[in-house]
Amino acid sequence: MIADMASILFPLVACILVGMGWAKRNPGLSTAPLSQLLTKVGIPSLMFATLMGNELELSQLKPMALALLGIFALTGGLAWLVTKICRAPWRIYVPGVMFANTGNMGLPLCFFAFGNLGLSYAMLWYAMVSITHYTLGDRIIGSGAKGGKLWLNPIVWSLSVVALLNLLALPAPEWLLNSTQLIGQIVPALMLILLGASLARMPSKISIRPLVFAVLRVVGGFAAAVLLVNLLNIEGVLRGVIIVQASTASGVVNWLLAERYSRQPEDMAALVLTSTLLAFLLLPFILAWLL
Amino acid sequence: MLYQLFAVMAPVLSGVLIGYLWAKRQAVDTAAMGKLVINIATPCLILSALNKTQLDGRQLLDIGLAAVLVMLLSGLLAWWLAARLKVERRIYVPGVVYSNNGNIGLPICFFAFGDAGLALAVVYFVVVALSHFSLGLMLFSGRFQLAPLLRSPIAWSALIAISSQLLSISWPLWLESSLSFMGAVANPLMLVMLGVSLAGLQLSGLRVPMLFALLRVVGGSLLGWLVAWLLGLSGLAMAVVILQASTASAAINYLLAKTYVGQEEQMAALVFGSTLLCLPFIALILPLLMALAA
Repeated sequence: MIADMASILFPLVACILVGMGWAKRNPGLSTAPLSQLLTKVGIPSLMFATLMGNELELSQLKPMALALLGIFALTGGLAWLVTKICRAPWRIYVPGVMFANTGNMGLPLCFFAFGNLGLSYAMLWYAMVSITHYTLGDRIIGSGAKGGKLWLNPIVWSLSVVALLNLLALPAPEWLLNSTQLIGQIVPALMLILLGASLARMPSKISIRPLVFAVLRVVGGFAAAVLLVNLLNIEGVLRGVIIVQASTASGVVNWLLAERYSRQPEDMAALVLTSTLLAFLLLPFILAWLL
Repeated sequence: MLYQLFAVMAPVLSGVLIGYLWAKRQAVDTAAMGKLVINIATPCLILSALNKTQLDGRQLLDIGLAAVLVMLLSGLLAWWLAARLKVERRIYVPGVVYSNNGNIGLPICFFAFGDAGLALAVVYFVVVALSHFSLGLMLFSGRFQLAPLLRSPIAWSALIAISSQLLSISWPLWLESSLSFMGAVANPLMLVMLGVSLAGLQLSGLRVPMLFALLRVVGGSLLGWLVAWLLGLSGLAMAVVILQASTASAAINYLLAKTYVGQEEQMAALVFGSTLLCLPFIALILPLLMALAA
């Protein structure tokens, strides 16, 4: 059991630490081209390769979407209530709690815990969260700024191609599948290394308020997910994926958006950092319970 | 047949194409990528790839000796040609000697000869890789000294891999999964960087690299046949040696040239040119090799 857990969590923690050490040692090195490659090419490729390469049950899409809506509503609503009680700015903490790190943290976790099938469900979950994050989340944090354009999002392109091939009942050509698989290989480890690098660059300060919201993010997300998978009777690998994805830290994109709109990025960074630590403390127990 | 070969090589080509198109559109700073690949990802890849195979003594003698002889003879030819053309031998000698037996050779051998072929192809690949990251680094740095080698994480990982092969140690699962997890980043990033570098290449500079690409693929193939014949190999073993000897120049040669020599555009042209060349060439000889193996 402990050996299983170590082989799931050690690679993740090692990659994050490598990323942190790397960013601390080379403060001048620009990681922007790497993250550009990751988001514009790597993630859409992996999305295509995993969705076309695995036999997903499309009937699962509806309960997945319902579960996601329920988790958004529960965690977001709870966070909103708490911001009213302790007079915290809701435009930081509501998205910070709602939008979890389903990419950098969730994808590799689900891959190691549930294999390739787990990865492809986790990919779909990530796609839904990410699209909402860049539209609704962008609007909340930027208070009514235009928001990211949907058709510019490479994830949307990749999903459209997958949907089209599925509709026409066409198999993906072998050369494309092989190519997207190879390019997609960069995603899991690189996401964690870049997560480590951005954690190392965030201003770190420890206080009570981010801790409260970090607990809401990780423990609240976990509780909401358990409730919803039971309500919707979701079983098997998908159940595990939803619970793990809902128990991850606050997404790094929250911090990027807060920086872009100058909405107290230090507070958002504190939430991301605290919840990342908390998630890594709690995930071994959550995984032990699931596996 | 041609389509299936194309499907096997498409990942290599598309990785390069992505980098090429990216660099045509905007200036790309590959400093961070290069450091990540050379210092972290490749050492992990070497350790995990070599950990997965334990070599068999008899196969090592046959195939391994053939690999060593092909490397030696092709290196001598490349040395002679580089001296005649008065071009940098620290680029062209290792560029011809070290072939892409992992990315290209393994899937093609598996596709053509099944599991038995793959097992032999892996022996060839491991022997070339071990030489690549020990002796090969000296060819790149142009000096037969150990001191600069010991500063390179790649050489360290090769050293550890060789010793664990000799002592038949394999890593615990948690370490193995971390190594292969981080190592997976190396190949795609390397190919993209190669493409970025190709975007800066002048067409007039292509003649010399193409000559050496020809030496790598067609010359390598002939040498493979010669060596297999000299060693008395036949059937499947001979077919695998010839195929592995006809593969393109290894993609990491580009990165090693960038780190140790400079003039990495020429290496990028050699790697890419030989990759393009080996696709039709292997398609041409594959029916003969499959008949030989059957």
